[in-house]
Amino acid sequence: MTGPPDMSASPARIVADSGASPKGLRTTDPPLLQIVKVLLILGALIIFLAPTSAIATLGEPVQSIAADQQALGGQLRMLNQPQPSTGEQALHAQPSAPSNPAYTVEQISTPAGMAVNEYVSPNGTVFAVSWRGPRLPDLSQLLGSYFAEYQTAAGGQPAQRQRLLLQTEHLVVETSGHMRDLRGRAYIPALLPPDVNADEIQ
Amino acid sequence: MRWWWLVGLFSLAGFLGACGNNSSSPSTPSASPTAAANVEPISVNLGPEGNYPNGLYTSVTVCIPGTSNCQTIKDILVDTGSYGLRILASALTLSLPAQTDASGNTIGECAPFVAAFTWGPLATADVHISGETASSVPLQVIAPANFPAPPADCTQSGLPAADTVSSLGADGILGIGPFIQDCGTACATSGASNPGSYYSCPSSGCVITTESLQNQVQNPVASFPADNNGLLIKLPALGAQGTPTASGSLIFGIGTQANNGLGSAQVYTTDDLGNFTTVYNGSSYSSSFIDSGSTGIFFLNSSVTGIAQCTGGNAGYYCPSQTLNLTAQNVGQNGTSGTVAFSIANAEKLFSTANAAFNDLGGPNPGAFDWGMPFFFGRDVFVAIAGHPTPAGAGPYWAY
Repeated sequence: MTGPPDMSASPARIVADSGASPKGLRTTDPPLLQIVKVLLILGALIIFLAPTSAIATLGEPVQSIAADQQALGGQLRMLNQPQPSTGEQALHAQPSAPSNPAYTVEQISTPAGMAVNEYVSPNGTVFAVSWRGPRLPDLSQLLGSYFAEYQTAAGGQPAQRQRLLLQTEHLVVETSGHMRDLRGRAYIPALLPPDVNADEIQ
Repeated sequence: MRWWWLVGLFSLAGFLGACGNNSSSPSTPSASPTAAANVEPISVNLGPEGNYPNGLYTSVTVCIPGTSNCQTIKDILVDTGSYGLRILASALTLSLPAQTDASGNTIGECAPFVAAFTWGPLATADVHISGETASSVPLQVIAPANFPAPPADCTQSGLPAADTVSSLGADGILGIGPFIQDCGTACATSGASNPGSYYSCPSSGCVITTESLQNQVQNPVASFPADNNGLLIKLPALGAQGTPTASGSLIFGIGTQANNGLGSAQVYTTDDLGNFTTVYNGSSYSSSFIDSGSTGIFFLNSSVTGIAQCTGGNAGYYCPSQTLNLTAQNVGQNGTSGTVAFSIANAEKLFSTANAAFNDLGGPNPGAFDWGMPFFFGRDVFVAIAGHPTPAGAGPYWAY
C-alpha cells in the first residue's frame, strides 16, 4: 500500500541577507577596502550557506538547467512545438511537450535514453521537472535543495515497486511506469504559474 | 491494524513453511498431482507480513546448477511488470554460485523499480517452476550482508531500497513480463548509452560495467526448454467485496499444450517498452500496461477522473462514496481494440474487511493506465515474450 504523504521538515532554502550591515567590521581600512571585504564576506557566506544553489534546478532560475545538462551528460533543446501526448510513438524517452504558452519547457535527453523536461515559468523559475527513461535520473541534482525533503518522505513510507505519490509541505513527487520504462514528475505547487494545471506536467 | 490477526496467522504460516523450505532432494513441482507439468499454483493473499492487498504469490525452487541441491522459496511475488527472478538473501539458505566477470569480480545490480530499487549480486541457479526448468539462469540476490553498499549512482534517485520482507512485501519477485532481460541491449553496450544497472564489484568498490544479454537477470520462462514463448495467468472472478484469498494457475507456454491455447483471446501487441494505449473519456494514454505486481487499477488522477482520493495512509487509492462502474478501451499497436469494464470501490471500505483479493481496488497514476491485479480476476491473461513465436505471431503482446 502506498504510505501516507508524510509531512517532512522544510527544505534548507537559505536566502542570503542582502541587507547585511558593515557596522560590525573594523573601521581602520579605507572605505573602498571595507566595501570589498564586505562583498567578499557576503559572497563567502552565500557559497557556504547555500551549497546547492549553484547546481539546483527545481525552484531555481532557468540558468540552472545548464548545470543539469552537464551533470546528466545530455543534449538540451527547447520544446517550442506542442506535441501530442498520444498516438505515434516518438522517441521513447520523450515526455510529451506542453501546449500552454504560460511557460516554456527545456528538454535534456541523454545517450542512455533518459529525457528530462524542465518547466520554466515566465519569471524564469523552474517550477517543475519530469523524466522518463530506463532508470530514474539523479534526483539529487534535479530537485536540488528540495531533495532532502523528497528523500525523507520517500523513505518514510513502505518501499513499493508500483509507484510513488508524495505530497510534502512544498513539493509533489510522483513516479509511475514499470521496469524498462520509468516515469515521474516533481513540482512545487506554490510556484505553478497562474492558469497552469499540474496535469500539464508530463 | 485492521489485519493484525492475519499478521500473526501469516507469520505462523511463514514459520511453518520455512521449516519445510530447505529440501536437499530435487524438488520438482509444487503443483498438485493432477496438474499438468506446465501449471504452477498461484495465490492472492495478504503476503508474508499480512498487509499486502492483492499480492499474487507463488513458490519457486532454485538449485545449484546441475545438482539436486535445491531450496523451495515461498511468497514470491508474480510480477508481469518486471523481468527476472530476485530473491531476498534473508530467504535464501542455499549458496548459489555468484556470477563473476573476466577478472573474477562479482557482478552486482541496481535494479530500478518505480518506487524502490533492489541492490545485490547476481547468482546462477537452475530454476524449477511447476514441471518446467530453466537451467543456469542469472538471478539477483537482494541485499546479502557481505556485499558492498549500493553505490551513489544507485541511490541518487532518492528512492528507498527494497531489501527486507517488509519493504518488498515478499521473499522475492518473479518478473515474467513480455521481455527477457531486465535491461536489454543498452546495458550490454559500453559508453554513455549504458544506463548503468550492472556493476563489477572488486574489493575497492563497485563500478558500472557492461553486461551481456545472456548474463543479465532474465525472465526464466524464456529459458524453459519448452513452453517458453509466454504464459497464461488464470484467476477466478470475484464479488464486489473481495475474498480472503483467491487461487489460480500460472500456465506456461502459449498454444504449446492443450491447456494454453489462445482460444478467443484478443491479441494486443505492445511497443518495445511493453506499452499499449488506453482510451478513457475520449483521451488516449499511450503508456498503459498490464501489471500483476500492481495491487490496483491505477489510472490518471482525481482532477481528471473526478474520483476522490483516499486520505491518510491510503492516499494512494481512490475512495469514491459509491462503487463506480467504468469503461475504457485498450488499443494494441496492431490496432486491436476492445472495451474493458471495471469497477472502482472505496478502498477504505475494502480494507476494513479481512479480505485480500479485490477486483475493484484502484488509485491514481497520472498520465496512464496501470491495469493491476483487479484486471486479472475472471479473465485469462496471456503474456507473450518478445521475439518468441506463438500461434498469433511473436511477442511482445498481451492477449485476453
